[in-house]
Amino acid sequence: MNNKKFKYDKHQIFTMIFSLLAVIAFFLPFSSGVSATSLDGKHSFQIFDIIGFVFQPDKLAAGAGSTFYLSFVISALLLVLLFFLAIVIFVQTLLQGKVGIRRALAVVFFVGILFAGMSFNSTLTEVAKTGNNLYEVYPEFKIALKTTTGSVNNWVRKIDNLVEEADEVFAEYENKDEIVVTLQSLSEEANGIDYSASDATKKKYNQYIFESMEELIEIEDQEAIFTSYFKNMCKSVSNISNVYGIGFLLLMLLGLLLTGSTYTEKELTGFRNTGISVRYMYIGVMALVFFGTLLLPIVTVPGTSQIATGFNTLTFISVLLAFGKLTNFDDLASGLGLTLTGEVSSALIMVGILFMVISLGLMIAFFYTNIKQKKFITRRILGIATAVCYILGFILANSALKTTGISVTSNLYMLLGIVLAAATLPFTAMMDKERYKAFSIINILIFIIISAFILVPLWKVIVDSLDASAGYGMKLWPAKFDLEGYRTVLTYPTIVKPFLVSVLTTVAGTALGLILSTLGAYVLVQFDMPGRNFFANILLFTLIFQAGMIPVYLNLQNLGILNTLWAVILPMSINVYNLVLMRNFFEGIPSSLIESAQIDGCSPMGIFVRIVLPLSKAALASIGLMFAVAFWNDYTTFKLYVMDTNLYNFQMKLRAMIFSSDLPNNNSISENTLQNAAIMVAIIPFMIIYPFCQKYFVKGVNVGAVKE
Amino acid sequence: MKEEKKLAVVNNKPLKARIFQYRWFYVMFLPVLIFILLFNYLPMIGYRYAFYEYKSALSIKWVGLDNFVRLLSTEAFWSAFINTLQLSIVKLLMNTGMAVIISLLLNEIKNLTFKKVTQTIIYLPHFMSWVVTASVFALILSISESGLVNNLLLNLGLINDGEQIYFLGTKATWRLSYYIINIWKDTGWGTILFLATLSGINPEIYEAATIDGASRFSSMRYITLPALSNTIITVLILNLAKIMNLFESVFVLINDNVIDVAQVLQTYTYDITFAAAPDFGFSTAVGLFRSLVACVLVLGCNYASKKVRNRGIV
Repeated sequence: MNNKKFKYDKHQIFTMIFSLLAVIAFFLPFSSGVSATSLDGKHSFQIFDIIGFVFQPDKLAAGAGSTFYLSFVISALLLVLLFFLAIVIFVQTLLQGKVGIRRALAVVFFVGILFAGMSFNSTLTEVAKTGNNLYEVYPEFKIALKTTTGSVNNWVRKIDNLVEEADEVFAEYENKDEIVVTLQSLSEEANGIDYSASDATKKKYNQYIFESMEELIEIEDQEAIFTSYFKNMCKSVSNISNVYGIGFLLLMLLGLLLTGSTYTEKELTGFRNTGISVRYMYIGVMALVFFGTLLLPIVTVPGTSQIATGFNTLTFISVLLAFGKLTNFDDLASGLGLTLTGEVSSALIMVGILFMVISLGLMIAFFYTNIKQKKFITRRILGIATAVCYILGFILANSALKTTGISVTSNLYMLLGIVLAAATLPFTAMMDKERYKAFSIINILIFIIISAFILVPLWKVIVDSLDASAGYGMKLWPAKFDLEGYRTVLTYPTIVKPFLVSVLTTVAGTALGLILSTLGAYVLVQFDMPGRNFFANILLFTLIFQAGMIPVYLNLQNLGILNTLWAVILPMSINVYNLVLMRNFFEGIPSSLIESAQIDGCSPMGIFVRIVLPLSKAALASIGLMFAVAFWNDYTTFKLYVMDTNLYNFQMKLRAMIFSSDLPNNNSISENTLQNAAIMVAIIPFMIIYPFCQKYFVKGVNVGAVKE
Repeated sequence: MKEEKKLAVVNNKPLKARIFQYRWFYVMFLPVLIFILLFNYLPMIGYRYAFYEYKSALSIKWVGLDNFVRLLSTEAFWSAFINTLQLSIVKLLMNTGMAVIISLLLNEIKNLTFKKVTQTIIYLPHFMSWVVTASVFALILSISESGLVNNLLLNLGLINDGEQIYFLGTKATWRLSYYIINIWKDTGWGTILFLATLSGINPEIYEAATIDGASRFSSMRYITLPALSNTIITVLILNLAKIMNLFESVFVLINDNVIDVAQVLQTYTYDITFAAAPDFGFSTAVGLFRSLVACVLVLGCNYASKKVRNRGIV
């Protein structure tokens, strides 16, 4: 009962020792991996190279011979399995499972991690050996080969990159063209080689690299150039051992915290009573953090990911850990291959790192208070503070890093911060209520993923439309904020006119459509009216049998409105679905109201205008919106029945802009930005009104199907 | 349409008097009638060209059923017909299945704010036009450097530079892309009806089940799903009636490389109408065939609907 005086029993102590050992074990493969592949002590092996190797057996065979491929794959798989095993162990510990089982699992884990480490190490050493002969001859080429095996795992691709980069890198050099030509021929030859054919091709490859290098070496000063070039390449500071290792360390810390908090009988009972949700929540959060740190570095800016892999959050932390050994920050920076510009950047980065470390501390505090079921408000404040600190630190460090010339690709870490922040809110709220089970948490995670699936494409459009640099994969916000795209779309006559046509048809069509629908619907609810059923059937028959493309075309031609805006507005404004929908709404009006008005001597028109319409505001909004959406989004009708390019609406114009690159001549802006801005202009009107009108849309759907 | 006659005042007046009484309603209906006749019935006259050879306005000659005979032996037509069925039915099943799953899960979320925000987000794509949708995905799936998906694959090492997949321009991937785009656009919207049904289930039933020891999943299996089955059938029937109308979604995503797997009846009609040497008679015949199949489908679904839920769909 006394919280302060609990004793650890032996299996708990074992759990802690195991945790520590596992941390050390987990770092082993990476530290040995570093020695096997690093070229200058800075560049370490990356976990994604494993993924790359697993999917590219031929490339690996080219490096180290095909016999090593198997051991490589096995060790990679083992590592993945071990991760899941770690989770199992944690679950077991948390649920206070049998000691024997936990112990056995821990031993398996420990042995497995050692085996994976050795296996990786030997494989990688073999890969690295390939270039050894060359090292002896050309020191700078040693660097080239080392880098290739270590970080790109694809020689051909690396050389291709070299060709691409050559222009930039050798800009100052007088023999630039020669180098480019040599590299290009190198690339062409490399592409022609069949790598699956083991030793013979390897020899051939080495041979031609030799020859090419001999050509190159005649060029003066090449050593200096190559040194600086590869120095650039080695800017890759985001090494996975940090990400993986620290993510794992976090797990361990949490594990210790959790085991530590369950020891008194009271607490143990309390912990169990809080429901399984608490425990699963932690596993959920841990998994989120872990997978987040593991997976996010993959999505870096293409092209730069191989040359200068982005900075990531955990690198900051590792920087900080190393900080104690260094006397000034510039040393640290140069040790990491960074070129900092001035005091400001250094200071900013430091402040940023500080914030992130604080956020890490806050996060741990947040977990702890949740376990201990501290006051709700404390927990929530901690949750929010964690997120705020994370984001703040991030922005600071990120903006400072931009000045170093490294492509900062860590936007996705920002996303992780936001997801974590968003995740903390429901979690804290949940803790107080027993009925929330693991299912709820998984459920919420599922919907966060679904929402992301919906929003990511839209977000990309928004970001690209505001970004003058445009292009690359996924960015969280514009790299170079610029409204030029929107200005162009909204000022160029060829784009503004279609926009106005859209506005015109939408307004006119919606008005006309509403008039026709209300009139028709009101008549349809006069059940005593002679001929009412006949009218209803006339309308309903059109739902069963419709005229096709060509008959409608000929009809519009005969009516003389083909190729005018009337061809869109008039036919679309009579919509039987919407009319029936309106009828369903009208049926909901209590007949007693209408009857009493009749008794008071009100005319049918009077009743329609004074009673039915005012009572149907929601229906009018709902159906009006449906018409508006249909007219605004209309593409087919224009495509089929309006050929005059002067009368195109915005959807037609947008289609031409995206698929035919029919863009205004504006050199100050990239094509991509302009296209995305045009898409945004097409959806903004409804994006703005939609949140306010959602209930009307939903009502329309329900009334349509339920009462039809 | 099934009319539930209102039990209002029984009107025993003679017909003439009733017509007079409702005279203003006839005036009100007049504009609707005119529009319907002009834009829905008048065009149907144009279907007569299905029985003519109509290569230009100057040479129209009666050929009887020749167009239809030709139609039935045209391979492109059958391919389009089968594609129409396949694309719309798979799409329908996928969208409805996803919508049911999402509704069930969404119904379990107790936090109202989170639920509302989620609903707002998942309904959103429904309001994008197909042109916008196609544009967004054409950019995302492109092989250029802004193509999100290819970049992801590239960075994962699943493909190499130069091996980027042109998702919308390859036969093998077009249909999958099409289904996913459809799920993105319409699944959220499809949940509305299911959610309405679910909110109508009496919570006491769940409470009783919980007291009886039912787990969450058995409640879902034995209470929620049966309650939903009627709505599921309704949605399937309502949409089955429309499968022949498949047009715009395909039209904005189709391109010459994927004609074999993507061409549907409506796009086929469009293509042959705007071909170099069009035969409007033949195109009209395709259109008429499509309308007739659609008509049969609607009537069939209407019949099914009456059987299943005692209420027609038209």
